[in-house]
Amino acid sequence: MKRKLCLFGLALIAAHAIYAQTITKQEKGYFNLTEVGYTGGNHTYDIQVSPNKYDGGTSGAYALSLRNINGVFLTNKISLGAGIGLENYTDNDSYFNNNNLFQLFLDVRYYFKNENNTFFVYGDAGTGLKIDDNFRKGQMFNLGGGYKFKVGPKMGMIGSLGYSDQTIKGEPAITKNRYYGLAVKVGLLF
Amino acid sequence: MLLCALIGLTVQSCKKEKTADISDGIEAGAKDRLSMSKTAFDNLYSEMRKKNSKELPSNIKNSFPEFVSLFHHKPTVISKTSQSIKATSPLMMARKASLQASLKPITKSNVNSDQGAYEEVAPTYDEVMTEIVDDQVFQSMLNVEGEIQVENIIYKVTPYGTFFTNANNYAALNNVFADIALQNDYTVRLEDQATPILMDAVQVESTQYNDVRLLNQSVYFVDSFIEEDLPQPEVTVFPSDAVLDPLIFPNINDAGNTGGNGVTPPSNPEELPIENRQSYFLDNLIMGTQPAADPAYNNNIDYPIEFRTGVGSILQTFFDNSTRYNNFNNKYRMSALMYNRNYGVIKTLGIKVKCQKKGWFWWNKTDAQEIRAGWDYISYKAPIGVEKIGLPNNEFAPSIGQPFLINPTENPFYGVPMWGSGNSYAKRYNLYGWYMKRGDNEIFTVTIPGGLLPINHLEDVDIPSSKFKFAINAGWAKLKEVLTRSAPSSGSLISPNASNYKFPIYPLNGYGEVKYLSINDMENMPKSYVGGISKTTYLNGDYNLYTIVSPQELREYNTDMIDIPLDFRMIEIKLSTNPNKLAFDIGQAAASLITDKLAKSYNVDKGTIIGAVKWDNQWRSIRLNFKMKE
Repeated sequence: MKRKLCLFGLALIAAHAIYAQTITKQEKGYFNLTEVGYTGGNHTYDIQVSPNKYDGGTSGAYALSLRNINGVFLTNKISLGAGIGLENYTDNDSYFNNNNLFQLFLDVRYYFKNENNTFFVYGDAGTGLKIDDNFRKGQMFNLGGGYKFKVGPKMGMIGSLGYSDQTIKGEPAITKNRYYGLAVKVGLLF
Repeated sequence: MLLCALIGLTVQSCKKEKTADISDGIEAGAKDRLSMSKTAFDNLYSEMRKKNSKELPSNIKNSFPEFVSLFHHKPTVISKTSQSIKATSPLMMARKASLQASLKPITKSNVNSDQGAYEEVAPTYDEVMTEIVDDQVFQSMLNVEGEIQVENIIYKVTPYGTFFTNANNYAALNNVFADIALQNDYTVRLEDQATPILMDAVQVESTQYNDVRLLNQSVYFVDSFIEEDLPQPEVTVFPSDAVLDPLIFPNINDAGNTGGNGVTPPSNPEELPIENRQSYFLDNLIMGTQPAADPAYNNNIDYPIEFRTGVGSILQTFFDNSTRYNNFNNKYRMSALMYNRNYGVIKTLGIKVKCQKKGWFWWNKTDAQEIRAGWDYISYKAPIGVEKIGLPNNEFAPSIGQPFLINPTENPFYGVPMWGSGNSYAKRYNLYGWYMKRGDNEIFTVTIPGGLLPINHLEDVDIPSSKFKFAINAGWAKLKEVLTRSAPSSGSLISPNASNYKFPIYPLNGYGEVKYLSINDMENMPKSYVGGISKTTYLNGDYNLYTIVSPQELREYNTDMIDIPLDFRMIEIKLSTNPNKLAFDIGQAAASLITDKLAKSYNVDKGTIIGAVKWDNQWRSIRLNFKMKE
């Protein structure tokens, strides 16, 4: 009897797990998230032109991004992934002043509920590599929150708003070269 | 303005559901002129405006059978006013005799010097009146003399404009009218709606209304027929240095040879007309020796900071660090912060200068021997254009509270002479002024140098602030000296001695109208002596009003920090009318200098913040060159 009860319990858990996988897409295991985004904010830049003088300034800037994150759900509320992305930063003052970056980063997400539709928060940290003959790199991080909703049996869609920060350094004289702002992203979760 | 008032009154009266009888409240038996209450005037005018112009004669005639209006005036009948302005009339002869001393010789084009021949071709005064008063309704309410009485005020419309005064002051009105008629052709407004009416022999005072003047302290006057849109405020497009330099500094730029204006100043400046004395003195100035630099700013680092506006400024507030550092060693440093915080509901602006010591996890504040904080300059920008005015000026009376750019491109040049030691920089300030009342005097006050215009022969070259500020100081002192020395006799100013004022004073004209210029000192002069100030933004033909807050520096001893909140990000200011209370303390440096009209939209534009720290008998300093950016 005890064995039957145990088997029944496991069957219930398994059934629940199967049910959850089909409706929430937050089960343990692999996921793939593809996002496109737009960031609006500032570009601040300092360069040391002499031992006693810095030049630079701050201007408005925007960025377009395409990112792909592959990872696993550690629990049905927490996911961990590794991402790659392409991001183009452009200054409002000058369209010629832009940076194309290849990004490598880690992504952590917490979903508030194991449901089809739920809010979540996320954090990314990694590095941005400038796609240019003059190679440069710098750290990046994103923090934000969003909402996930179901659009298919094994597919969800997300929308998010967050803070984005990207630093690009590489030459000693450049003491600050940083883009930061608010990022809006939409993505598909498989 | 009178017509605007009439229209305004008409609109008001039109709102009333029931209109009064056309002659209610009006002296129906008035033969010479209509006399009525203000309400009656409103009602009458609005009622008549509704009528067809062809009905006007019968309407007026029916209501006031004995009244002969300007509209009904027969050409064969000459008005009394027309007769009174003939050269041989008793009134004109009396006025001529009375004003003989003060009137300039009357030119032929300027009136009745050849009255007989002139009358053959020119329209008569009455014909001009009929022609020029183009509102037929109003014309039908005026008598043949162009007069109407509302309440106790008599209004006399003339080809020069409208005179009005209390009814028992009618004789004074006629005298002022005669004085104006002596100097101006009554046909002037038929062709020319821009040239101001000459009033040389009349005492003219401004009033609270821009276009109304008080003549001889008893009769009000408004130029009814001048085009309101003229003159337009001039866009200040500054001429090139190459054009200006020989004019402003002939003895510097051509060394007496070529390229200058070739004018040799007379040996005795008293021989010069008032308008030219400043140029003479400026041309003959010799600058002093540049002072040594302040050691507090010898080990300095210059940083740029741009503050964005709007959403960008909120992001900058929360996600960017505006603090900059200068190290004594790897354990001690100084920091300077210019904060421009936008928290959505409140904006703050200020300066913090600290001495810091490295701790286990972060840098902590620590006492320094001395800390200094302040600014070399802070520039404000107002989104309004400014009219230019030449000084002295006798062409028009400025309006109270109105700002003016003191024209640097016409003689006399009020540019402050500034030159660095041993070079040929030709630099000048532009001055802005406000016309204001101080006690019983009307004073044109130049507060602080306005648009910052250090001009160099090269394009967009930073002027080293060491030279720049020294030159400001020296040039400013010289300008005050020049103005004081070149001031003509004071007229009726109550306190005619310039030394009785805190600042030098200067009359705007020498024709009896008391208007004075005062110069406020630049106090607490140069500080950091490093870096430069770009001229670019001031030479774009931008005619907005710029005001510079003069240099300030706060010094404190044995402390770890100076924090100066600058509360004039959006300044609310009441104009001080007491010359002894013009504030120059930190935070109020600009406050007393700007009129209410400007204050609400007066924004910080750019500036240079300075900070210096003395620790272990060593000085470190930072200059933050900040700029507000769209």
